[in-house]
Amino acid sequence: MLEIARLKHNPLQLKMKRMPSKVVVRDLLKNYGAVQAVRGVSFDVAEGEIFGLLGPNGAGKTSTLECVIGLRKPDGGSIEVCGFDALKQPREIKERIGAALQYTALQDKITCLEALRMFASFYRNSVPVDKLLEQFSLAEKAHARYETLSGGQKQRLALALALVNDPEFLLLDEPTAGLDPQSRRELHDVIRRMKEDGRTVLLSTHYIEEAELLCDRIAIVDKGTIIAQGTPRELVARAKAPPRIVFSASKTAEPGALRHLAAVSGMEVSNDHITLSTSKPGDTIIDLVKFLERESIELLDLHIQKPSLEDVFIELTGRKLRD
Amino acid sequence: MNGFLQHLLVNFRLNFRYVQAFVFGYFVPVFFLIAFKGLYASEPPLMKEFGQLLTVSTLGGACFGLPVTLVTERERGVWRRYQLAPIATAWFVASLMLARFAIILSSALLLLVVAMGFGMPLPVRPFELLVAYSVSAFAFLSLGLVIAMLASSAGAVQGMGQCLFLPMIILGGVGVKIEQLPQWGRHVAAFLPSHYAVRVMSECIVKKGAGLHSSNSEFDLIALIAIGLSCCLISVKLFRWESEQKSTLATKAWALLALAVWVAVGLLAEYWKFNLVGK
Repeated sequence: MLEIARLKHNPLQLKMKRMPSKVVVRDLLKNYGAVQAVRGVSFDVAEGEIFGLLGPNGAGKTSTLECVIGLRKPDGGSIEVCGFDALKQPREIKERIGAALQYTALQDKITCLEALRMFASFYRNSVPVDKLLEQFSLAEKAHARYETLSGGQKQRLALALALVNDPEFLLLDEPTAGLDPQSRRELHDVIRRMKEDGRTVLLSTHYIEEAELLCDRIAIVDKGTIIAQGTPRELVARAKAPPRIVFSASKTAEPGALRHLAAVSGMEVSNDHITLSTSKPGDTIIDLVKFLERESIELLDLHIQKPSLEDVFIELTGRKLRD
Repeated sequence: MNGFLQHLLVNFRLNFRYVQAFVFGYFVPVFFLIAFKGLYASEPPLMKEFGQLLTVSTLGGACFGLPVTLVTERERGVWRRYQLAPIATAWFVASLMLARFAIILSSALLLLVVAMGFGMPLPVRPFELLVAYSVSAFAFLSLGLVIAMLASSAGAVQGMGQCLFLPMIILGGVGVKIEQLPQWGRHVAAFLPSHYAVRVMSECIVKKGAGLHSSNSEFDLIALIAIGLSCCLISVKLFRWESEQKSTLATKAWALLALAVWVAVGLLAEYWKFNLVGK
């Protein structure tokens, strides 16, 4: 009853909860010799949602994903994908999923068209490859060899290959790692379209902005375990870090005076801006503007930073995500 | 089946997009042919040596061409992507072998044309030669696959390939004719599949040859098929999709099984004295 009452306040979550799970992972263990890469990871991915595994490099995200798609044999736990047991029915799962791996490549001399046609032929169901070339803006590169493609084009081809079998469930391991901002934005659009098409997506990333932007729910992974799980809003709501006001001014203000502004609990000074931590951003801004006016200092820029997933990660682990 | 055919077609096409494929697949065998012509002044030219020539060109493609390509692709992460496809490993192995077979067969045909240009008559039993050549190529390509599964890098392929290639060239009746070897060398040759390949193909090429219908040739074919089948099955068992995939105890046990079949063939040959010249 309590659960239902809680969910009524969050219609999106209520919708998610009612959806059947596309992926169910329970107590997953994966060791590499003496190294425990995954230590008891459990999560569900509901149909039609984008679920993200967020964590630093080496946290166990890739190992988890590779166990889910059958590239690695788990040392313990259970995995169910699209209603099939990952250990007992890997072929059924492979027919239904699409995946873009973190480190993958094709033969240098293969063309985009050849690669798509060949991979499409491996499946019982397949999408017309011309449609995929159009969808991923690769039509002009249909006859281009893999070695001549840019990083963004290679990544788009990897995503197109992941869709050749019209999969119910997509798994994307660090899909935008190493790409320039423009290519990253393009891929974000592609991933959003996948969700709009009704597909379920499980992705891993170490980019906080990417996780916040794309994912309906996120699991924060560190040292092989999930340390927090929920919607981005739920996770950020758990952060104890106060909001921050970041501003720059025409002259350097006296730091001692700024510390005494309304509700300020901390301050950081850098070369071109000052960051004030505050429990009441509104009061602090009013006080700050008055102070700057009094001191005849021109305010050049000001914005409020709410607590982010990075803050949640720091609070939970004591380190930054990209350390 | 469609997936298998597409993979086969792509593999075949890709081979012709690499310069080194032309160099090692066509120019090097022709170079060997010219060297053999100079080395053995037999009449009609090259006829007695043509079995050796076909064996050396097949061995090169099998011991180096196939495994180097496979291991290099694996090191680059190409095979990880294939592992996600709902296709049995055996189909990939079959497709790789067939594509490579088509390539080395085209090289063999080129050798035949060039040899005939030097005055060699058409082999006496061309269709039986095709069967003998195919069985020999199957055995060597299977050996190449095992090398690819055991080697962790392209450098390791070179090392392992040389360990097989050189003994077969020197003691396996390829570079040096069996009758020119000392007695101990002939015993060693019984354990080298190249010996059976040269012998069975020569029987289909020369005028006095018995073709495939002699007990020697039948034994040679069975020996090559046994070695080929064992290596082929074992390479399916050992198939490595990525470089990080370490050899396990089971892997080593399977590799030992391939070696055991090989040794068994040699022991059988020794037992029945099939390996002696003129028998």
